Amino acid sequence: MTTAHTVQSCRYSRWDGQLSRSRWTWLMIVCIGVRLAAKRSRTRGLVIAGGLLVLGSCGMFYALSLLETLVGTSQARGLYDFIRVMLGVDVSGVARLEELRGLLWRCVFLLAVHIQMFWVVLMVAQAGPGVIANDLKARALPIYFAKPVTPLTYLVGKWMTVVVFIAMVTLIPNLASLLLGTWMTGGPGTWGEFLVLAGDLLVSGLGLCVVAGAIVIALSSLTSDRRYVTGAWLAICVLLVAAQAVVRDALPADSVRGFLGCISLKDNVLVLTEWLFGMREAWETAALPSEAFIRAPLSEGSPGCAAVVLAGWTVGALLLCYRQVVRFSRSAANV
Amino acid sequence: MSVLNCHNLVKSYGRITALSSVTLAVEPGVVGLLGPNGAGKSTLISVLLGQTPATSGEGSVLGLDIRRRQRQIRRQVGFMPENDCLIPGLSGIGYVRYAGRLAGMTHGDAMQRAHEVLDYVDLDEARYRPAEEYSAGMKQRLKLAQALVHDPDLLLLDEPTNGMDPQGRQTMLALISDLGRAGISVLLSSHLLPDVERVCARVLIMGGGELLATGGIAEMKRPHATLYRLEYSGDGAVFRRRLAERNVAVLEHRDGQLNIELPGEGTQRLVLEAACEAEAQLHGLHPKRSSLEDMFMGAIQRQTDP
Repeated sequence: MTTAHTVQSCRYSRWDGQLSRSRWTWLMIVCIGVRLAAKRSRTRGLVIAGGLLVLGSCGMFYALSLLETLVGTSQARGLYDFIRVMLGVDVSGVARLEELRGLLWRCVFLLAVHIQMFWVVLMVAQAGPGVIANDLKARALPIYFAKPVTPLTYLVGKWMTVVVFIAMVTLIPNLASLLLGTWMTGGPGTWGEFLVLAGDLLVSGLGLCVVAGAIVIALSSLTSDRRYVTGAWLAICVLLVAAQAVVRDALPADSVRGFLGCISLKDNVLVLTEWLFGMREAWETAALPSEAFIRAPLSEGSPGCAAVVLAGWTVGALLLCYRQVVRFSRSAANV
Repeated sequence: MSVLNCHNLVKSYGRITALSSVTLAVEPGVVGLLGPNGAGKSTLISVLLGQTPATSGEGSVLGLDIRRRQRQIRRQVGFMPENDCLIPGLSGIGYVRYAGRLAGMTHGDAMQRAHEVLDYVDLDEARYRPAEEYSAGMKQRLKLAQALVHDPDLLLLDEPTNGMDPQGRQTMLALISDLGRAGISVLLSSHLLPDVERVCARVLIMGGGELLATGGIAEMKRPHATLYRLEYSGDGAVFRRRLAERNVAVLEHRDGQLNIELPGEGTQRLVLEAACEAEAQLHGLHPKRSSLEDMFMGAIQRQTDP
């Protein structure tokens, strides 16, 4: 017969292991944050739907590679129309389409980034608001700040949690579709193009993740109710786009080339992405007549101003969040 | 060596002084920290953990300077906060393992140790359930487990028996006593004086940001040499008058009972003389013992009415 286990019969045993001074504590915070946020079915749905964009991009790459082989034939007519509708450029007069491959691929990714901006708004609204607000609501801060976790480590961990989710619907699908597109198209020249484009995609994707992540964690640190954070995030996105549209309508085109043209976060991201992809130079050097461009190919606005505005938002948001987190860390024993 | 040392520790928030020149030295063992709301207990814990910088003064925890070695202090100290502080969505085992990882344990160590401490606090099968589904007592034990996971040398417990039923309280107090026997020093902050009285060898009493009293519970509860409880029958008014004539102060009187204070040690015969003169019959004369509550109220009274 065994005796029942009770607290009174149990003796505490000491642990003789060593605690490490890990520099990767923030990564643990990210892992737990991602695991908890991924438990929500809506978050998982958004990630899966964002991943489906890979199929769209791959379809475009397949159409382009097919067009390269069918160029000049009657079978290519449908593909020319498809490219014209999707990318806003008429390439029916081009004999050697592979020379325009880099430009057309960048157009595909620019289109993807346009669509992904909407996804980012939804994903951030779903996965971002709770990162700090939930800890405040559950009064979970002592678990961090009674342990050797600094405010900076906590902030980076929470920030990167949001960054991971944004990357899942932007950066990772883009890199995956680039990889698949390169594999489908083949050829040594394609791999060289792949590396340059991969670098551009990486930088633009990380930039987007960093800016959106910083804004939402700053909002999340201001309240313990995630609904307010969601509302504030959507308001920032929508109101700035609306304000930008009003300014563009009200003022002459020359006046909105500077900071007045950089009010909307979405437009700023697109301006910088186009600049990073080198779209302006690519269009100007492309052997295409001007009437080939069905849609205005480039956004208005100065990349310098857009970068300053986005950097301002990011730094401001991070400073606000850091100030809040330091305040929380100092009152953790009193929560 | 003292586990906690403070010398003229001051913490001010603007014009509000939360800690006013606190000087203390706490020896290893289980020590109670008593005080009413706003006494400065939580601020003291926050300063000791290195979360809040002290405005002035010096202090050390386990020999580590609270101003310069905050992270090292938090590696060697476990803190159990008063509130739930659970992370929604995590199971009990996930929560304790996470706490271990944050303290600097490796993945394997944190997992193994989390199971050990959950066994210790008697959360056997419940460890795989979401922590937010736990009862109040289980949550308290889970919080103790997260504070213990990295095997600290000092535990700071803030109201560990809050919201627990009598059986849960007994369990928690048994755990705290056992931790003390295992060589872990414990600072137990509580409003529940019987809990402190049961598990602590010493107490610190705080009020208004000051340390009002400190000492061993046993010596504080020694019988008073001059305070007595007296049981009698007869005319109470005459008896009290005769006692007063002999400088015996009557502190409290009820039917057949008096609480008295003698003018000095060894003057019990004055009571017998007074009883003879008043023709009262004595049934008992018992030396009075202070309870922790008396000590606590006395300290608070001295602070408000110096």
